[in-house]
Amino acid sequence: MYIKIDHNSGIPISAQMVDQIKYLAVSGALKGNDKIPSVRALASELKLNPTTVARVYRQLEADEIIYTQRGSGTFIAPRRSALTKNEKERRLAGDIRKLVVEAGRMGMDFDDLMLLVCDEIEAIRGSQGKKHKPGKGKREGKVNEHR
Amino acid sequence: MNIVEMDHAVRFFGATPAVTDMCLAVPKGSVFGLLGENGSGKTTSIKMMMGALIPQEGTVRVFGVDPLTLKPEQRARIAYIADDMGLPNWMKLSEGMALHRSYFQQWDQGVADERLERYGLRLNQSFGTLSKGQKRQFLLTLALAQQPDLLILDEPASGLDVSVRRDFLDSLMELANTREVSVLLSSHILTDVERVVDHVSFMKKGACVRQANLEDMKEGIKRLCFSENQDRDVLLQSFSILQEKQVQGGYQVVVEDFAAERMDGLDCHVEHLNLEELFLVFNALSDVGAVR
Repeated sequence: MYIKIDHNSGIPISAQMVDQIKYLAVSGALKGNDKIPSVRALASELKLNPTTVARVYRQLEADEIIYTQRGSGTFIAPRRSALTKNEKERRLAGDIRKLVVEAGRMGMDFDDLMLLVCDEIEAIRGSQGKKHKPGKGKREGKVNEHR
Repeated sequence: MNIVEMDHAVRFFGATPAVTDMCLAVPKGSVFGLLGENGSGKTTSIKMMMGALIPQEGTVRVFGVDPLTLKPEQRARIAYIADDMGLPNWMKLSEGMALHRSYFQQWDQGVADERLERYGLRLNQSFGTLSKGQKRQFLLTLALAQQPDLLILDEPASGLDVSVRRDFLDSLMELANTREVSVLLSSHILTDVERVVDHVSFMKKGACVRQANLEDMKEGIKRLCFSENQDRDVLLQSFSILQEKQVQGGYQVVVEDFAAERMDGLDCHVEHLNLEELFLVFNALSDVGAVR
């Protein structure tokens, strides 16, 4: 699992990790039921405090991005579409408004904003299209870096 | 459970205050950063934890008891490395290690051998021939082989170049990932510490200005940047303000209880604060006496 942490950005490390693992899951770099490293293995790999990684896993579990099976490890949860279309829209409305307001505040052309959003969707679609092979995750994860 | 606790500890040297009112709690299993400028009382606090100095007021507890009453076998569970520590220059590393090993029943020679090999240290070298970085690496080797439950490091990275520092701190993380250990380290190099600590205590003039979980702190404390004047009363209804500043073409406030859902109607840009910036905020706070 390729994760890049910026230690001096001021963004909580756990928030950076949650974002990136969600991205890997949504983009298809990590597929449903893929096994992910244990808390300690990931903490050792990233040279992080295990309590920080445990916090990330708790958050991801609450968000239903991962699930843990006692004795066998932690896995990416298969994507669910249990939410109704209305509910999904309701949950996203706030974030979308914030994005539009922020763009407006900076005086950005809304057409340009649309293009940016489309680019981001294309990037995720592009990586979803690729068949994920073990060991390839590292390269695919890097899609994240340009953000 | 807290491994180390200080409750309003006070220590003067003659008429000079070193620690004026220190409270601290190091949770079990945490990597705790004791941070402050030179002269803020970090080393004096650590010496009180080690039982090398007795607090004149207040209490200090290590493993739940007064450090002066720790039994030898409890004391052997603490490893301590200070900035100015060392072995006699003539002493061979093999002799230094044998001496050290004799004090600790839990000594793990496998850990020591693995470290020596990694650092490229040879047992027939004498301590005086080592570079500053190698000396620190040898002391860390001894401390880790001791299999401590509490590792106290006073300015472990000062005077070392960046790759040695990074390696030193990475070793700490490896340790934290292999066995349950609590680490307390003091430092004034905040960018280093930011990589490894989960709890921090900011010290200033002998007292703790703020202690918290670093991730919680980064989540809660944000700088809001307004491009025009903002009604302060409206802001105060939603947030508790730590610092405010009029800047050219705007107004900036640092709030300590940020929550995205309370940002409705506020037209501003949110900035994250890293450890160094957090430190500066609390350092400035204590100047005006608004502690905590």
